[in-house]
Amino acid sequence: MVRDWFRKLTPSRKTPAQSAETNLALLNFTDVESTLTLYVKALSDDRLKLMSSTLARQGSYSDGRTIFVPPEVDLFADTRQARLFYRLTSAWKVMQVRSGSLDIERVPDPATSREAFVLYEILSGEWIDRTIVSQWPGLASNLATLRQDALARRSTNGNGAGFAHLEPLIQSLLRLPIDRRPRTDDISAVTEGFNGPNGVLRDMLLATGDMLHGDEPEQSLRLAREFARENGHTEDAALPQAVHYRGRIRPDLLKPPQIEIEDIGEQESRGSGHTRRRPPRSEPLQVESNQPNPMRNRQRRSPIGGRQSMQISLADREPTRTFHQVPLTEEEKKGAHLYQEWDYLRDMYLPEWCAVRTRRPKSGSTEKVEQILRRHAALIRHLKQQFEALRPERLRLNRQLDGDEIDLGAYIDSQADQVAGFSPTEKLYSKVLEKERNIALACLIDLSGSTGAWIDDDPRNDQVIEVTRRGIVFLCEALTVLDDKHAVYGFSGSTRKQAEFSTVKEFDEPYGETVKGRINGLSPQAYTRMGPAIRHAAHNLSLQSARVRILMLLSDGRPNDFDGYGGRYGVEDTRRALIEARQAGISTFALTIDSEARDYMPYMFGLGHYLVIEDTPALATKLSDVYRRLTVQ
Amino acid sequence: MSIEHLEQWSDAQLTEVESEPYYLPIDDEITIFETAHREQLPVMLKGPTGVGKTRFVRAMAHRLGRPLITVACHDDLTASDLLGRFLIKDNETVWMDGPLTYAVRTGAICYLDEIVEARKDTTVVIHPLTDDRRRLRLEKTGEVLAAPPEFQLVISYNPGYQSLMKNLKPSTRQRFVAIDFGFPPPEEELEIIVHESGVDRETAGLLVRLGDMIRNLSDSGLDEPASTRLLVYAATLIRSGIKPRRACELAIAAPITDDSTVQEAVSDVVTTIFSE
Repeated sequence: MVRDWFRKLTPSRKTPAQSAETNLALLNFTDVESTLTLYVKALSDDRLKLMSSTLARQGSYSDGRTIFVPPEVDLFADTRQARLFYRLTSAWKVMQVRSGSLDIERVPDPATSREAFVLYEILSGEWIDRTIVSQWPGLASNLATLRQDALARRSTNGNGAGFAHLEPLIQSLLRLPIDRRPRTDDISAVTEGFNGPNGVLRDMLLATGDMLHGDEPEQSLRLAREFARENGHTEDAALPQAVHYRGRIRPDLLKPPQIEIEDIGEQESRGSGHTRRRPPRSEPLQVESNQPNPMRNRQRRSPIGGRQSMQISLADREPTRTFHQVPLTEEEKKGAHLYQEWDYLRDMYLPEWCAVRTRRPKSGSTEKVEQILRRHAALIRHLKQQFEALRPERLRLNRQLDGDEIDLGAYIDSQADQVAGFSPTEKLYSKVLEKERNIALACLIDLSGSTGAWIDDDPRNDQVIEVTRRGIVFLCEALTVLDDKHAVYGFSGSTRKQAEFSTVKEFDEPYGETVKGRINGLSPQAYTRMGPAIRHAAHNLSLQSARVRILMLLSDGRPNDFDGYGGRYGVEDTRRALIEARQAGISTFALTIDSEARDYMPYMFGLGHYLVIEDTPALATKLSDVYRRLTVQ
Repeated sequence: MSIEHLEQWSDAQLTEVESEPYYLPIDDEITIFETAHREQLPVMLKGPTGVGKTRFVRAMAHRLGRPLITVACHDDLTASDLLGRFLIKDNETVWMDGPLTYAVRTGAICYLDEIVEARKDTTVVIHPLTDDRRRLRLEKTGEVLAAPPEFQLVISYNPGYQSLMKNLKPSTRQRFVAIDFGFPPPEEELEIIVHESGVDRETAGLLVRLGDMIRNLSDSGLDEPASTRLLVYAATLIRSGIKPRRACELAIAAPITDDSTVQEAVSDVVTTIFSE
């Protein structure tokens, strides 16, 4: 099958405009984004992110943390091939980073020797191809096909300039088999037609044999240095055409490895190989709830383990807060709810540190909400149906072996059976199964300025806030079929003096025009000071009488406020606020669209108590989904 | 107790673990369990589904030479289902021990699987058995049974992403010595797959790699990460002639999620590892 599509391949140029003329299918990155993002996440152990970039039209590249792929692929006759190309080029880039081929100390500096750099790109590329075949054998045949495709595109597209002398090497290497060590006859076969002086090409290929199937990326660097002949003509020469699926190495983007600070108290020995791997999900941070002494918490091992270390840059450790470290004045305290804040640097609470100001936004037009209701009527009906299944059952079970009352009917039957000479049944009781939900939910929405951003920074998409609005409408609609008490709050503000907390819907308020008007009015505000907002929402929740209290946070980024409430400080205070909430018997859960959430969410919420939503528009339905899952009986 | 009575335990199962179950120790769990048994401490096995909790209990029952009574907990499981009840028989009532009572009487290991599934009022009946009293009170017969030293209560608990309505109460969980069960390290997981399915080592190695990759997606909408059990199932299908890709679809991709995007991504990962 793969051969079939290879046959159909035709060389092409890259502009989308021309693709129509040549009958090539165009596949946009956005069509594959959600699957491909997960794919890269799986292959890279969640270390690499995926983005599209117009710069990647000249070839995918990576800075070691993110893979940049072209915004569209139009090289192939049908979209299936284009999809495969996206998958392969992403996998290839993951392997390039994973194998260490992009480590800054390994990539030759083009300023020192441009030719060594070019050779490194060629040789390490060939080595990565073979590493992929051995590590991810499922990709072998597709990769072989793409190599042929790349080769076909080269022969029709003569590349001149300073590196023309390397073209035979590139093409010969692409002709070598990738599933085994090249033999001398393989090498003779591929060098045919390239009449290099004195068999230099042949010698080069013979020398690469060990490197290609070795374990070490260093070898390609060694060979690149060896092969590079400095003749002074290549300094400004254009680079050879990139092998399409390999893209380019961008030395200008590579940085020294980030400093990674392990989680406080993380004492799990990871090297021993004899401890079980932690399941990706485990406990909420409940250990803490039985440890009222905050000083001791620091020594305890955090229940999140493995590679969920917090990545903190050094700058975060030096808070710029010194000038703010004065208590609030009476004036500033006036009319506000005062909350403490956790200062992790001093390992203490700062009492009455934040002034939370609650407000009820004015209700106005409900136009946006009405529009959501119209456009998504079918979906909302579906959500309601799903929620109906959560309705508590009140079942009388008859003919039980055991129960609160005698089941008269069963008893009579049994007597009748006995009289009739059958053996009587023992199931003579009835009982009532009572299940009540008795839940209070507080939904806390991050209204920071960043929620005004367009999804994927593309103004044709919705703003993040619109997706949030949709999610809230869906949830409120779905909840109309249940008796669960719920409140919706938004939070933002700037500095600890002005932590704003807007009540969109209070627990006792009906979901009616007023509330719809407030949902309609939700708009991006300023900063994300999570700690005080969580404390206030938890406070309101704790006033509700309910068996289960749930605090759900919707967020698009890490805690951040401009008076030093950023980085580690904000994360630590938020985490502390969540621990306080859990100690008060509140379950906490977060939904986030921040692709970097893995850096701090496990630490704040605990594994299994947050969900990263890769596909932002999905947030709208995920909110209801998660609530349903959390509260199913 | 006669077999006839045992059949009435719809939720429980009594096993004398005769042949030794295969269990590959990962850490010090065997020592811990033996110590707990000797010191008469109840044990909680914590971990996601399919990592070997039940297998471990069976292996330990065999090692310690005790009969094992397993109760699969569910939300209709009542206290009477565990303790016992009066049955009407030929115009008189006969008391029949429930699995828990029977285990206490006979000094067996009683394993309550997925304890959170049981109703809260059911869970509390185990409380007096789990502290130093080690007694079981049968209100209906007026008996108070003292558990013999060989009796041991074991529960399993999956703390994963699940309903908040079903969380284990702190007053229950703090009565147990908890042994954490995560996924086995790669080499051990490979051994387990080879042993359980009879698949060749190379395929087993690929399955381990696949499992690791899929587990990276666990905060992106998977209900539960791909368990060792699923990898064994896939391996078993492969060994019996199903093509690897298809086997992984059936045994791994489809069971772990209903989300089409995630399922597609999982399929892509499968095709990265297996060529056909």
